[in-house]
Amino acid sequence: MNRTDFLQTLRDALNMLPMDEREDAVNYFGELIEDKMSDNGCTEREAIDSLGSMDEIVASVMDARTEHDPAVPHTDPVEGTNEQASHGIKTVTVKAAAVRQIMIRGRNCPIEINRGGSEEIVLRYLQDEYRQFDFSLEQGELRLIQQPQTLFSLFGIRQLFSDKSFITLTVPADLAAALDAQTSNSHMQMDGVSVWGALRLSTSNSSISVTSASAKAMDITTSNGRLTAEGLQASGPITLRTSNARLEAHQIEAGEALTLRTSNGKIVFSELNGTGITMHTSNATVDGSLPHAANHYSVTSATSNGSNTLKHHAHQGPVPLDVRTSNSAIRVSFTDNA
Amino acid sequence: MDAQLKRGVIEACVLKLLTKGDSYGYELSRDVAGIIPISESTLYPVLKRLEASGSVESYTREHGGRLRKYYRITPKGRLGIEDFLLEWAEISKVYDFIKEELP
Repeated sequence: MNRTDFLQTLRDALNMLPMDEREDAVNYFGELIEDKMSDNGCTEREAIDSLGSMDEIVASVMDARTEHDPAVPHTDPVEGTNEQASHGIKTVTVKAAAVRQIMIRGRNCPIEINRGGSEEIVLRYLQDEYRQFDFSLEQGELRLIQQPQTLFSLFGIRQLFSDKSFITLTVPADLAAALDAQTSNSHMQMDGVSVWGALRLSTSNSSISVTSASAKAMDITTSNGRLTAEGLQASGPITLRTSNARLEAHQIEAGEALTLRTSNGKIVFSELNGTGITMHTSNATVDGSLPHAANHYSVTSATSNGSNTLKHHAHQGPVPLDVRTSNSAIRVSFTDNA
Repeated sequence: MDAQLKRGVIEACVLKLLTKGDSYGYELSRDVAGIIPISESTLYPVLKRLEASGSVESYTREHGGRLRKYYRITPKGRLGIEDFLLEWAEISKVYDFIKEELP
């Protein structure tokens, strides 16, 4: 058998392992064969045979697993100029059962979060000389933190990137963890994700879109970019914030307070539920429909230089509704017109 | 030798070898084999465990046109060597005691 076939057989034998662990083992034994050949002068065949049986090798690799954390530890640290930084798309796979908290911090890097397979959390990100990440999994806290770029690389180099930055996170449904993901100056997107813990998403100067998500509580923030939220559910509060842009919220169900805030941008909504609903903007309309009848709510509303359908709302219903804007109309209707 | 015991002993060997300088998989397996017989695949879980516990760090360097993974000992790894020596000083006392009692 030659080296390529041998390594492929090993790779197949390890196919139940997460990709990172599998490739790490394959690289180790591949290097071992090469080093034997160059240091010893033996043939490829001799080098392979001297490794022992495939069963023995597989047993060793599996042995390595039970002894350490169910995640790949951080390898290939960036050192001085004479060492190779680790390049390319990194993929880290972690057993979901081992994780109670996920923290992601990107810089100028879009983040995408989706639902995936049943038992594993998969993180993918692009790493090179200018975009370095620190990954760790300790005591149930999974962290991926993008390191600040050095001053040298900030000027002009970014424009030369042929590969666009990205972080993608894939989690199984009903993940028993809290999720806190933050980036800057880049789009953030989440679809179809349900977590048991609190959800915090934050970016700046960019749009953010969250659809079909559920969590214990939600805090979703951006600035100067459209915020789109659809099909959200939480047992606690939900807060959606942006500025200088439109905020769209549909089918939102909060078990506690529901807050929508923006400025200089429309709030467009339908089917909002919460123990209290707040919608604040300025210089733009608040436009949409709420469930139940008008008497389900007790209203505080204010605008200037604009019509207000809530102006004469005098009911004292159980749900406080606070709607404010300026220089624009408030057009809130109720689906139940009984 | 008991498997667990052997693993601990091989770990200590690897750490000591790394205090003499950074090394790579094949070189380490040869050097350890010079002290205690092991197969090359035995070294793999040892290295992974040392890395996971922070006793050893790995880095990749180009060598002869390909990439080779090197290992370097960390301060924590050096403490591991001291712990090993202390443990075995204890065991050595027990060994002396047991040896003495035999007629």
